[in-house]
Amino acid sequence: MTEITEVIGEFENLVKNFNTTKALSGLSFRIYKGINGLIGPNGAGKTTTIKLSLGLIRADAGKAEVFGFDCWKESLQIRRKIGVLYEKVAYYDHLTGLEHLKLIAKLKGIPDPAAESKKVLRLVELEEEAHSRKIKGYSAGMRQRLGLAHALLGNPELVILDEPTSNLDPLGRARVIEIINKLKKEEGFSFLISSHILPELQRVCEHVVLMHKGKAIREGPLEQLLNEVAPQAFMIKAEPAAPLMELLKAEACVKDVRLDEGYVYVVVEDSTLFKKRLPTLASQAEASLEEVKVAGRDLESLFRVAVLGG
Amino acid sequence: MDLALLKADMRKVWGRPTLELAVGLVFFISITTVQTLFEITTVTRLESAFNTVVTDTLVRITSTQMLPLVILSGILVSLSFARDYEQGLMQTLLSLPVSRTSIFAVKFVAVVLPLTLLSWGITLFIMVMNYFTAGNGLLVIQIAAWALPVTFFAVMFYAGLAALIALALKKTITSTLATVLAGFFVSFITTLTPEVLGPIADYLVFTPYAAPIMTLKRVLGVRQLAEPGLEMSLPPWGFFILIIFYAVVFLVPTYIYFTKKFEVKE
Repeated sequence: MTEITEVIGEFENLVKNFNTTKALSGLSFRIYKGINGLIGPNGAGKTTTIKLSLGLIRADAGKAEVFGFDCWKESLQIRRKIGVLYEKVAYYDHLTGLEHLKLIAKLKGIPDPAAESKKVLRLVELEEEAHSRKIKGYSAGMRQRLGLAHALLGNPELVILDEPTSNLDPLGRARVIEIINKLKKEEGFSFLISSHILPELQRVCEHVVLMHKGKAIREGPLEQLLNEVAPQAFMIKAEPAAPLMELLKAEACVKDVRLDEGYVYVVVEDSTLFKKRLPTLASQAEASLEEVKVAGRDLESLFRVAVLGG
Repeated sequence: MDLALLKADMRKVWGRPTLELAVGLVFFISITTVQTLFEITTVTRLESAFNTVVTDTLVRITSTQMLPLVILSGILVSLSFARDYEQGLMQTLLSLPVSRTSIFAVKFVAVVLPLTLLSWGITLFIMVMNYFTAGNGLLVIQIAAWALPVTFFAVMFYAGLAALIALALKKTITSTLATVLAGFFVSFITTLTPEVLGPIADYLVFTPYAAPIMTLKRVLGVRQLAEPGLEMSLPPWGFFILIIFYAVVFLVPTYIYFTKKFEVKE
């Protein structure tokens, strides 16, 4: 992983309400040069944050700046430096993929729109279909790849991808991740990737922001966060689970207890003490411990710990 | 305004079946209007060019025939803004390095320009047909000279209203229905009689669809035989200003809202 230091975006105490719904409630984080991950469940405020960064919506309060420009007042300057792929992909469907990209390239002021369009189409392996077929005849996966090509046009300084793999099959997903890594290494692109498919993000992200209920609950270099958090969570398979969970909740060293996919998921403050106490608690609950493991050192676990324990 | 974007947007707005429907509508309007005007102009003499009853009748016929085109402009503008918002195209466009002013202009012009050209085509067709066949060419030229700018202003007025409704409601079906209802409502007001309206009937001449008719009458110096009403309080150029005001009355606030306040929330 490369060193990430240069800040290209800064958000401070952002608040955004849609009528009675709180979309963002004091969101603060930074976007660094490199690959940034915006992680959170549906409704966490990821898409709102992306829209806000492009000047599509205005914050009720707080500061939002990208490349030193105010996201609402100077959004045109920001949009000149950014390429974006939204989860909801919509283009002029009566055009072919190539025609669409040439139009966008012209709007972006790219000197040779045709050559640049063909270059990005090659990158997403859509060259053949994009020449002849109109966008309205594209499958969801093809639209997604065209969207990626659209975002990459003209070598933007920051590429924002909102759920870039949501409509793709496993092979397509792997290909997108491969493209992102390649562009980062060879072209020096920076990315802000929003997704809830965490294993994929873990493969590419250098810096992550964990969002929950419109707030950033953790932020930092991925490696550092994984090191901090991973040993603090345990997954326990016990039979019966309910009485053990009740006892665990009363323990001082335990921060949170949840039942998740058959496992009792426990976030602890002192893992050494917890390991000592667990057999005693299981005995008191008359529960047999079938499996006890430290939660994986991965984004998914990191996110669970952050949400449950944060 | 970017011409490449305008071309793409025009192809979207005027794609099948919209263009075919509009041309069919234009053809229908042309045939019916030519026939009606022909029947009147062939039996009138030169002096009747300044006759209030004949002029009034012809203008009302022309206005009524143009109404479907005006309503169509509202529907298309409403679709262009609200449907693009719902489908996500507005979000895509607003994320490009293109100013909001340019996007607004493209979406507005993509509807208004072809429709205005179509309506002008009808007017010129009617004028030519009547000029060579009817007995009163002067009357025909009068109507055409009036219809060319007024149709443009009427389309601008209604398209501005439609854009405002679409941006406020952001739902394709709801905003299209609301736009059609608003269009018919404005037209309906013009048809109300003094008996229904009572003391405010005099102000009817200043409404969006009545003011253009009054403009023509005042320019020609046509007067009502009865007592002159409130319309005489404005000079002819005052009515011109009034219809230009109507052309931008919704357009300007809609433009300001779109460029300064409009948000893509969904």
